[in-house]
Amino acid sequence: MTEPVLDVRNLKTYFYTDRGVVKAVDGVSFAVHAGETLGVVGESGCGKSMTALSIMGLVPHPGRIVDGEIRLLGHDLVKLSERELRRWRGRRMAMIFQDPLTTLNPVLRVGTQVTESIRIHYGDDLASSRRGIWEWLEDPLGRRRRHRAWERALEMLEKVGIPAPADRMRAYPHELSGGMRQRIMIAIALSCNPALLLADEPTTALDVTIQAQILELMHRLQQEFGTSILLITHDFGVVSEFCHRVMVMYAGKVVESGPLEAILDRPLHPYTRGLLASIPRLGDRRRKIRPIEGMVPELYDLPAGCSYCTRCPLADEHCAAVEPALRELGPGHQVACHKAEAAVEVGWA
Amino acid sequence: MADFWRRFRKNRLAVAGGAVVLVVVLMGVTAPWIAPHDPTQANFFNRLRPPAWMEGGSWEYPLGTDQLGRDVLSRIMWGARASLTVGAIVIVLATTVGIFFGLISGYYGGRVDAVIQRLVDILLSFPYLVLAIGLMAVMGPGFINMVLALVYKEWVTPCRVVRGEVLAAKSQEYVEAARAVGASDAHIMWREILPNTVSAVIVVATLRVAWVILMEASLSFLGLGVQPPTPAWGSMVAAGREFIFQAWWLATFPGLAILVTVLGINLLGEGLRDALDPRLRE
Repeated sequence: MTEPVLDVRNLKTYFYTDRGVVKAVDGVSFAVHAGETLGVVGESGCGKSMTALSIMGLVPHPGRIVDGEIRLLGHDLVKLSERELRRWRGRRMAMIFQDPLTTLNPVLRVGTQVTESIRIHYGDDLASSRRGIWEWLEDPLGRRRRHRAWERALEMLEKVGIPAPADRMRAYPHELSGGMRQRIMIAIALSCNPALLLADEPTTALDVTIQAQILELMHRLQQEFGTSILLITHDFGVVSEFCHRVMVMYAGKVVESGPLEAILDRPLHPYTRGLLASIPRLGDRRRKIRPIEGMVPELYDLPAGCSYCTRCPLADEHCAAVEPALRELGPGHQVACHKAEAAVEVGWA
Repeated sequence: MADFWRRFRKNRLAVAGGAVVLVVVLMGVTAPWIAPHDPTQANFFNRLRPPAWMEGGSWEYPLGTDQLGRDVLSRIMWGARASLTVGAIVIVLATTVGIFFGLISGYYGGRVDAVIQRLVDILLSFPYLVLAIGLMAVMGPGFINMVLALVYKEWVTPCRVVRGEVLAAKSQEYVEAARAVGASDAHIMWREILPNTVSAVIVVATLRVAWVILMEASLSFLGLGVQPPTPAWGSMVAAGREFIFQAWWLATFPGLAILVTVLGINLLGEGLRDALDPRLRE
């Protein structure tokens, strides 16, 4: 198999707070291959967003990556300087955020914001002899450069299905709808043709009908550009439509990962089963929605063993004492649970 | 922009204030052509002439003449230049300095912020006029020294305002999004955050112009600002003070000019604030 686009190994992102060390991401490993979509699922605060921010090198204070490797296209991002990282952001990896209403700068025109990434990274791929003084002599006011960025931005807006893109370029964000703005965010993210797109709950803030459109759009663009996508969500509906593989996170750790069909048809971890059982289904009134009891434990005060043992219906003393390691129980299907086999037999999902 | 106009126009007082400011600015700019007399030309045959509508006054000197026989109206027109120039220069310089330090202070936070803000605190603890007088005593009177003495403290106001706006803006998601496309700190500060502080800066700058004009008048009144024979409203009030019982118009009209100008600018500034502040939008 070819080398994955993104290969994360044993990533640990800790927050050093007054109340103790919060292990937001604690030893997470996974890979995303070319053209593949990996869904990262979990409740709020399980570390899925922090995983994405760690990859981007944008972990907020007082957090920091304390251990692990993040290899993107073969380069370890953890070892890069801030300066080098800046050239990677937007160029080889891009991110879409949850709320398109707040991720566009309200006082800048859409065109300015769509061209921004292109202008920042323009010429990054040109041989060094082409840059510098000669380029400046050819284009002293940067007019040609700006024009090219503008053309590229127009092209991107067309690609993401924005009608009358030339007019939209001159509009301010508040003049556009939420779905429109998320399309613009996608255009910005893909404008430099990144190898990896990190989408942090890209459809959560949108209407259901718009959600479907945006997912469809991302799917189409993925086919066209061959981008790998890391899709962060808490919505199994989104995952089932869009992802090739799924990774379930709980309290900063991966509890289960595998191909989409395996996870949906044969979930092994009690938490995954709980998540699947808590989804309301249309047209099935007899089937009860089963919420998972209890709360996510505080991350600076985790149990010694399995972090899920406080809420798990199958947990015993062994679970509370010994932390389960990830085991492979099917082709590419890994789970971190002592009771995985037992859970299948009980079949309570 | 059209939205801004609609809201601004609804505020009658603000429009009136804007009109006053416009008239004063036009008066200052066109003074060489519209002033009926040379403001520095003494005429000893026409000393202390009362305004036109009083006994002994004439329309040749609509607001009367001073103790040297100079036309008060012409001097007020020319005096607008001193006030407005000082006001504009001081505010432009102070705002530039204030934006620079405010951005750095708010964006980087921590030690940089602490140092800049303590400096601001120290400057704020001095009474404005006393500090300006002290500085002018050291540097000597004169136009440039007065501008410097005022800028010395005036930059703290825009600095504080910008810092506050930066603190609010830097935690916004669009800053994160800009960082995610590879923007540098400088890019984020100047291209992303600064445009978000502009409306607040415009409002503060407008309101502070009024204050600076008052300070200029005060310093000129004390003889530290614009030097005679160049006419300035403050020094006209000071000179007229001696004749307040014989020729009240000498101190009153330049005083009124100060009052009306400052009031006009304040009304304009408040109107701008109401029209620009996004929190007050419907």
